[in-house]
Amino acid sequence: MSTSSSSSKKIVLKSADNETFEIDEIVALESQAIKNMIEDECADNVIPLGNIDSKTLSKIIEYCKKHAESPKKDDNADIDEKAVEDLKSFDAEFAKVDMPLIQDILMAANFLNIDNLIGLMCRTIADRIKGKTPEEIRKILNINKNDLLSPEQEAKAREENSWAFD
Amino acid sequence: MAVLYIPDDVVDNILTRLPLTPLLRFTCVSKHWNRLITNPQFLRSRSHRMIFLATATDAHDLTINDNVPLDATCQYPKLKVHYPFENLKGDNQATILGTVNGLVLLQYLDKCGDWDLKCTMILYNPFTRASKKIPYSTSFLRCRYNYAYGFGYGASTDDLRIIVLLTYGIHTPKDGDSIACEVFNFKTSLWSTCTLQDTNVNHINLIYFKEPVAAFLNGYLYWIVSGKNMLVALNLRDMALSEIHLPLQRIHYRAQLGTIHGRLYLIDIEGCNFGLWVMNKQGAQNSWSNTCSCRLLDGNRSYTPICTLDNGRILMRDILNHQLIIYDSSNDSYMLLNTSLDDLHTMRGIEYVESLFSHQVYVLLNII
Repeated sequence: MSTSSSSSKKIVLKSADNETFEIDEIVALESQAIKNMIEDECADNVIPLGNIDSKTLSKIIEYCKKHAESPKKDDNADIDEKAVEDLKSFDAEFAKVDMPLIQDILMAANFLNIDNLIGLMCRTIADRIKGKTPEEIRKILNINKNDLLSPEQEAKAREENSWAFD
Repeated sequence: MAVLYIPDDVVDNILTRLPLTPLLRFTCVSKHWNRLITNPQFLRSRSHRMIFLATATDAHDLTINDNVPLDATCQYPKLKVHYPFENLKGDNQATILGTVNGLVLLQYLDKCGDWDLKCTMILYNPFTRASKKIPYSTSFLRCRYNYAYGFGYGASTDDLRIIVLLTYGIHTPKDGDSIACEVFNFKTSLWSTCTLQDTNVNHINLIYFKEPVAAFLNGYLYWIVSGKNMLVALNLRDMALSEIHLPLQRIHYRAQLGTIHGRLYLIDIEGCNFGLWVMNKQGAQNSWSNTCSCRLLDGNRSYTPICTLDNGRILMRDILNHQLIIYDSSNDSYMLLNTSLDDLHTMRGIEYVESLFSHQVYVLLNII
């Protein structure tokens, strides 16, 4: 993946399925984890991301590019309202993907420490699960079976909050 | 990428973004979800402030959600009251006597003979729809116009009480008559009489409350006293009634008392000048600060404040034109609200903090 300005410094990311993505450093800096690696000078030319597949990684790069290009809030007190709106609608479109991909992006964003993206994915998940039953949630979010309540505890929790099931 | 278990801190991040009802439904998803959702700190952090607009002839609580920007075309989000008792629908007049920690104390009045009214009180949680009928007190069959009500707690949140003050109002008291006080204690579920420790209130037996419903804040109940240019506070810890220093020479009849974000406020209107005062410290003299004063639009004398909203905005009613108005003191602007409400005259704005705290705590104490 090549980018517009050829003069700026490049970073190469390598996905779990060995696909490489060349991006501007400024885009990579959206990730706090990569930023720390670069600052600590422990980043080689190619940063291997062994737990992120290429489909997820390309979505993450798409997000970081858009956010890196947008004017930052602290740059200028009165940033263009249009830019804020533009970023909002980008985020809304970006989140229109299926649940497994949302979760993959969330896990990757959590690993790469991209705050805004973690927030966006958590908001999206909250929005999608709020009408679901506990059983559906366990399935959708792959809740650890070892962490389930005992049948007695579950009955008690349901009894106390019975009104919320109407 | 194979789906792994979502780390705990990320789950926490998702849960903080869920509305209250689904949250409580999700206490049985897993141990971790249960632990987090029922954590008192988490429950407190999820409280959400709104304003109830209640009218005397309509118990169907309307709410203005104070956290969303209002505009002239927006309709009020309605919070449907699930009537706890079918026989209390109909023609009964209903009032909100107070809100504490997510609980609402409702009062229904029924005609009983020519002059008297029978009063039923109900404790209600709008979100869980749990309700509890308060037992009748023997004195509830008297004329209602001399009553003042308060709902709150003294030292701790589980010390929840209803206070009913009976003043002589329009009747002439006999020598030695004083203000009578009845207290309902939720722990014992009993009414009892109580003698008020009046510290500095002159002619306490002649007090007549402008608005019978008290504003509750941190262990104190506050009322404006009609005609006497007086503000009184009842300390629920020791049941002492005392007069409070006023920030202005005179309180006018359109004045309003209320709470906003843990502080007491007073709005006073004289002619077309009005001022908003906020009390900074309880019990301290001269602790009021004047947040704004200004002159109303076109010298309009028919505006009456209902309550303050966030960010220096004040909700008012315009009786002449039958309209609701939001005045924004930060830029001196007005916004007309599109209202379908009939009874603006008796409308009151009551701060309500939606909270799961009451659900967890008061259910355990068997209070509701």
